[in-house]
Amino acid sequence: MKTPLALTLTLTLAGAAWLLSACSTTTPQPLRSAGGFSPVSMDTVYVLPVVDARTDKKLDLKVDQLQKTMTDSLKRKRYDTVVLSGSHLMAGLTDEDLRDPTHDWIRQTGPAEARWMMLLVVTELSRKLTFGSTGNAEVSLAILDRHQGTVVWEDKALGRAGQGGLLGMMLVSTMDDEALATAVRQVMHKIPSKPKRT
Amino acid sequence: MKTVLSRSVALVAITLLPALVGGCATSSKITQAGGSHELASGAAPGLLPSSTRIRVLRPEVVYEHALTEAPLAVSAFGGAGVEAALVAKALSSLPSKGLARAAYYADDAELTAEQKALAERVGMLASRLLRAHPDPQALALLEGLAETDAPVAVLAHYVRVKVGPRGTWDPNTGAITSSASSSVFRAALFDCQTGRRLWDNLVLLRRLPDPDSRDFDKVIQLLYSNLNP
Repeated sequence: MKTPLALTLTLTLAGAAWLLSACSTTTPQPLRSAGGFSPVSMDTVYVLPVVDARTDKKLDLKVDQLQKTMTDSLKRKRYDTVVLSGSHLMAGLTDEDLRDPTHDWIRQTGPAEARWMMLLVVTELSRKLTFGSTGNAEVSLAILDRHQGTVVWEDKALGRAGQGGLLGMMLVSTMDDEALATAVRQVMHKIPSKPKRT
Repeated sequence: MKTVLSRSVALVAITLLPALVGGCATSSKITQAGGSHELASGAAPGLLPSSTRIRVLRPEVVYEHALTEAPLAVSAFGGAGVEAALVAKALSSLPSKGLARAAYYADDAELTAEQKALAERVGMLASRLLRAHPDPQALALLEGLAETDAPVAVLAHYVRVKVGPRGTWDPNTGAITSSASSSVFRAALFDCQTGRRLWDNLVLLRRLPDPDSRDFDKVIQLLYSNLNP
């Protein structure tokens, strides 16, 4: 009699432990982040103009709208933001330049009072028509520490969208936008919310 | 019967029309972009005297995971074949562009062992040379390849291959996706005396490179298309 009871208890405890571990959420991590850095430590975030580093620029890319999407997402997470406009800030930069930015470049970018700067780079945007249609997008997100001249947060996302059949064929013109929205959502999702102000 | 048939044809036509119109604005498999360097993009190497020696450097070919950017073994994807094909195509294309004195650095009898080692180092830094703001250290190395008796220019190649997830099809929902692999081919010509970029170009191939494919030939053709004598 004792044995079935012990077995039941053990199984119940094991089940509870499994349930707890399954329900617990883990904070998604970016590709790279500087040791000890957490985005919640940022006071004001300066959002740099979105860099269009695509090789193929045939499809329309609404960079201002993307910058607004980023800013709105940060505001929802209780960050103070300053939007920096003017494409001259990022003129002529390529994917390669931004891969390993120099200290000097980071220190010269943005206003003198800025410490934390956020930069979104779009490296690919495409759509394809088959028996259906698909869209692909590739974006990178970086947080720059202007005081130290370093990159403290780097992340990347591939957004893919698509639908087969006649319906998918009809939706071809929306596929790139959907893929881009997915990619931006993925990189912004990893920025944690700031605690509520008391 | 005839009415039903014509209605069906009309329905299909109306359904497909937006797709066909939209299809015109879909992305190409191969795309050429103008060089990022305003002065150099498509510039005529007519600026170079015909006596200029062109040293074709070893192409820098890198394969990486499209999402994590983790480097992948070049040998696993036949990267050596891409390197060899790029050099062969460059050497066969340059004479038709009026640049007859072109040679691969490793086979160039006029180069000393030291110069060959230097050329090897410069080739490995091709990605840094091809930036909008080239790496000063890489530019300084270029000067070591300059000669006093004749002008010298180097042709650098950089191929960055992103290996992404393959296309998918979900039979339950009908959702489909395309492969996210792509390759960017860059080439540039530098004057060794001044470090000035004389020409550059960039071509995107939305798939993995295969030197035996027609796409690869098209990429190379496009890459040198604006290198005008």
